[in-house]
Amino acid sequence: MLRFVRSEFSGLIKRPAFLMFLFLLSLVMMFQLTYNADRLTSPMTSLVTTPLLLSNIMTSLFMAYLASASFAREFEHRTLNILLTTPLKRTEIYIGKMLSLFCLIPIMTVFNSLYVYSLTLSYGLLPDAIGNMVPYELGLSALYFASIISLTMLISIFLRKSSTVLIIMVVFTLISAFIGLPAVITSPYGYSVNYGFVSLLPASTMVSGMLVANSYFVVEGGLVPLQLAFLLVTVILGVLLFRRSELWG
Amino acid sequence: MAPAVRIKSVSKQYTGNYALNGIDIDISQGSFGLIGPNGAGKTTLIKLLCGLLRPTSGTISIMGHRPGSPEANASIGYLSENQGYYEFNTPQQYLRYFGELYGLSRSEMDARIAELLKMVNLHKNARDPISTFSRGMRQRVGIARAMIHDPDIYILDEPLSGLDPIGRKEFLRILTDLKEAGRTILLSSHELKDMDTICDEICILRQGIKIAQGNPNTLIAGAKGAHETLSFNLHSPSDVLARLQQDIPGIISFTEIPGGFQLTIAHDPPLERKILRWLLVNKVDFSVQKHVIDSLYSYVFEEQQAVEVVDEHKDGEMEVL
Repeated sequence: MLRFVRSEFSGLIKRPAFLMFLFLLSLVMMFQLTYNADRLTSPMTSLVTTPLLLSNIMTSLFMAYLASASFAREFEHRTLNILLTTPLKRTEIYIGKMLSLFCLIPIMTVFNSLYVYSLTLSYGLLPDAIGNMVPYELGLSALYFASIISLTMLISIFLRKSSTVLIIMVVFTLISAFIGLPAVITSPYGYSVNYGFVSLLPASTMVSGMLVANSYFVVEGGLVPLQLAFLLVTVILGVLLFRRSELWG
Repeated sequence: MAPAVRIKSVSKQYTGNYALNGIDIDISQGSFGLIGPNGAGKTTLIKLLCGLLRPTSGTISIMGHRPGSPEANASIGYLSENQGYYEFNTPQQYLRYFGELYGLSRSEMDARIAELLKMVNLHKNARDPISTFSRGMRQRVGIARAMIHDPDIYILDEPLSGLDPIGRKEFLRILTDLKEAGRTILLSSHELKDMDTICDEICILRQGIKIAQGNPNTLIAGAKGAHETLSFNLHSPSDVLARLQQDIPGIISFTEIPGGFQLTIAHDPPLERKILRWLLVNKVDFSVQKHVIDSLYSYVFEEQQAVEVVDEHKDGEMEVL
């Protein structure tokens, strides 16, 4: 299976779309860096919050695009049948495709970390209240991307049409982000950076009320187990469905 | 020797309808043709053999293994009808990807890919994207991919459909090479052309039921009324045809084809020789096609329909009684 993951991963990073995405993201973040610095009352907070939040939304949409492309598009282009007749087990194909997409997550985490590092080089050290949260935010983002990939693949098994899968995931991500906004606004701690990321969790569509009502729960990372459970359930469901169904027949 | 493929009482049902019903087939070394009209169940049977579908009842084994298992998949090379490709890959990248999945080492893979590309006559296009390829070239990429791990069994679903005469000829040459190398080939087709030349054994399916199986020539011999036919395509004006008909009686029929006429005669070696000689003496431009299965196919279908009419008639009588 490792050879499969390696083949898939090398295919993903060689895609022009991936390089284009990194380039576009760099432009957006550089723009944020220069645009926000002298205009906002709390520049350091906004310099961390806004670009990383934007980066997360863009990355999650891009991950959804890649996951739908790597799976639903295989249905559409009639290439999955061939893959299923190789000596790989179906579980290996499903998990292998997922792992190759997961391998992109550290790249995005490094990308975001580089942004924060360049921020400190340009404007000095971050205040503790924000700086201490950054690793936590990056970790949560990574978990969120993994969930987006897993959810997209699960939906792909049912829908088999990459454009439909992508539309659903875009709507889902944006709803998640906007539902979380009240939590950012009403934050009693002022750590809007944290809420900005947590609001993106897929689970937040279900527990957004809880986000607002129990800020302590969120800040202390109480949603991490919930998010992990979400990831685990979507992975298990995806594998079981992929193994059992004859959708590709 | 145990058969390479064993299909025992296999049925496949889709929402109440039988796509296949009680199929029994053993396939040993050589080439085996699945023939039938659209909807006969050929593709369903092939998907069952590849483990892409599961039978409703019955058992299938591929080299003694369950279809879809890694062991069974390692011994088959599958080419599907209207197969998709990773369009932006070159044949080289495409074959490398699958070579990796089949566990070939890098050096093994390089040698194998070079050999295959040459075999399917794509070595000059090895670095062109597949998206720029014609259907015939894509089919050749597909068969090269199916051959990458040198499997024992090739399962090819409608491999000849949509190919132009040159592509068809090239593909048949590859199949003949594989057959000579001792591989088992199972191919399906609703077009009967060329199946009698490539297949040692054929099975005719209709509405999910096997209605005939055997060597094409044995089936012909046993099928009363079915006969081998020979077609001459004359690329000449109609006066040649008129003279031919006048000089040699016994021509079954002739039909107009682009740029000439097609004569069809029953299997009759002296008559065939007579016509050939006449065409050569009169310096007529012509080509020859031999159809064994076409007539067998028509015969079997007509017989089957006749049996069904009798059965319906009997059922009607039973109801009246």
